[in-house]
Amino acid sequence: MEGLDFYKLFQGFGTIAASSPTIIIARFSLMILGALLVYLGKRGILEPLLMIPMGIGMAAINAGVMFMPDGSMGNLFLDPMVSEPDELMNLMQIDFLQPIYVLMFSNGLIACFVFMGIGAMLDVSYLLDRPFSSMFLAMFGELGTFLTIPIAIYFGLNIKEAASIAMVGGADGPMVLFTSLSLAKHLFVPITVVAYLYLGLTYGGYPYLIRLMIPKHIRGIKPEPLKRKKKPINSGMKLTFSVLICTVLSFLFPVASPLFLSLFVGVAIKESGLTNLLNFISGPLLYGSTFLLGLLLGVLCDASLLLDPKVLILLVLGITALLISGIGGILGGYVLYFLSGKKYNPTIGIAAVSCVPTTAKVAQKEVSKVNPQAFILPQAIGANISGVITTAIITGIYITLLS
Amino acid sequence: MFLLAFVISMAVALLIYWIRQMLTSVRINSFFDEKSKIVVRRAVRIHKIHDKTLSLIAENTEHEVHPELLDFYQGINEQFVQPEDYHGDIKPIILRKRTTKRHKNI
Repeated sequence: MEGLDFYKLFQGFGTIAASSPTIIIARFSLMILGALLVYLGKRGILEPLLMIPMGIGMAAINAGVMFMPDGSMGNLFLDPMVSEPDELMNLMQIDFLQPIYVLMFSNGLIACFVFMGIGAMLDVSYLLDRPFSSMFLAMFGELGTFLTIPIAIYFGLNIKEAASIAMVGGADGPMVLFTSLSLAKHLFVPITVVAYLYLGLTYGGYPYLIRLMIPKHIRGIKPEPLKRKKKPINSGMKLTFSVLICTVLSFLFPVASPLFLSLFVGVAIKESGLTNLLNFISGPLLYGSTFLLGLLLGVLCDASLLLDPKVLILLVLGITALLISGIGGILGGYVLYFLSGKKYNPTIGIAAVSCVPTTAKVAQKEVSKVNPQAFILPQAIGANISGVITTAIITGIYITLLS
Repeated sequence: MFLLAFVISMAVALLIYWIRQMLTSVRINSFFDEKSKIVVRRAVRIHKIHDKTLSLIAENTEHEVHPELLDFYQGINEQFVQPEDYHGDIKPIILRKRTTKRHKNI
């Protein structure tokens, strides 16, 4: 009993005692933040599918710090910075989330699974009905991916790092993963954490942006029915469309072809009537991937990682990119509002920021609060899907021109 | 880079528009749908309309002469009966009321 060291027995306390005051404050802050994210997810203010596993993961990783055999401090969850193969194989047998991180997260597989699930829930007929207005809005919704680059360069990032963080403005997690893997691998972890954290926050922040920029009487504009009856699109046509557009876009942008495949294979499964596959993709695959994604993101929010000064800059730049994209989308909506003779609801513009289907839901929710009769969801979904395509186009351009 | 992305996006929008037009044209549907085949046959043999104008047949020609046939774009006219006028005479179409219930397509 004499040799019993309290700090060695309860290593949580031991690591706290051995850490600097900054790390101590950061660890406790992140534990509290993790609990807060769970609460906000439960309340529906933030996306619960991501925030609940993320929050609990964040709290656990910052509490579960211990002394490793070599005397340094670490954890038994995962180490995202290891790349040397022997060490990696060793860690894969010890850290329980390391295999998932290495084999599913860092190679973008989990992002592709999520995209498949999203594709299986999409209805491309809205995009087929209004391709030009949807793609026009989508380009405005990408303003953040362009305008953040010079701001990032001003903060000391190089062009590749700037392009990687600017992609957060596209609000497409998989694209952010791919771009940072290709252009700035050393920033992959912090950029991904920033991206997914802020994608969850769009649910909470964008409604305020809409209310700030769009007055009530304009927000409540009810979309007019089409003057000319359009030819109906059946599931066979949508299936053919998904095959054609996937092939063409993959041909034009091979760097983004895994994502095009993932999205449109989901659409194709849905339209081909393969019920069992559809239930699998939109059920266990989507929700399983989302759960693991949220859990991994939370576990990656280690205090020592987030305290890196560069990460702080990335946090600021990420929110700047999303903010500029949101403003851009609404401005695009206003352009169509004036071009249509004040008949187009500019709130649809926020859905051009392609956080599918969150931003479309946000747009509909804000419009319904003012005018319950106004149903803008179809146009919003069209803009959402177009946003995915334009984000992929921009990903392809950045990787082609900058790598 | 924004201009490049904008131009490519508008080109993709044009592609999507073109795909939609192609997928909903009478001529493409005639490969899959019996009633579209009949419309195309009528266009070629009776009205002597060929090639690219076939996609407009519903709106320009048949709609004026036989509007009851052209529920094509609002759904297929279930009461359509194949006309016996391939020799140039446009006989009045006898519409038969269905006595049996329509089965839903599976």
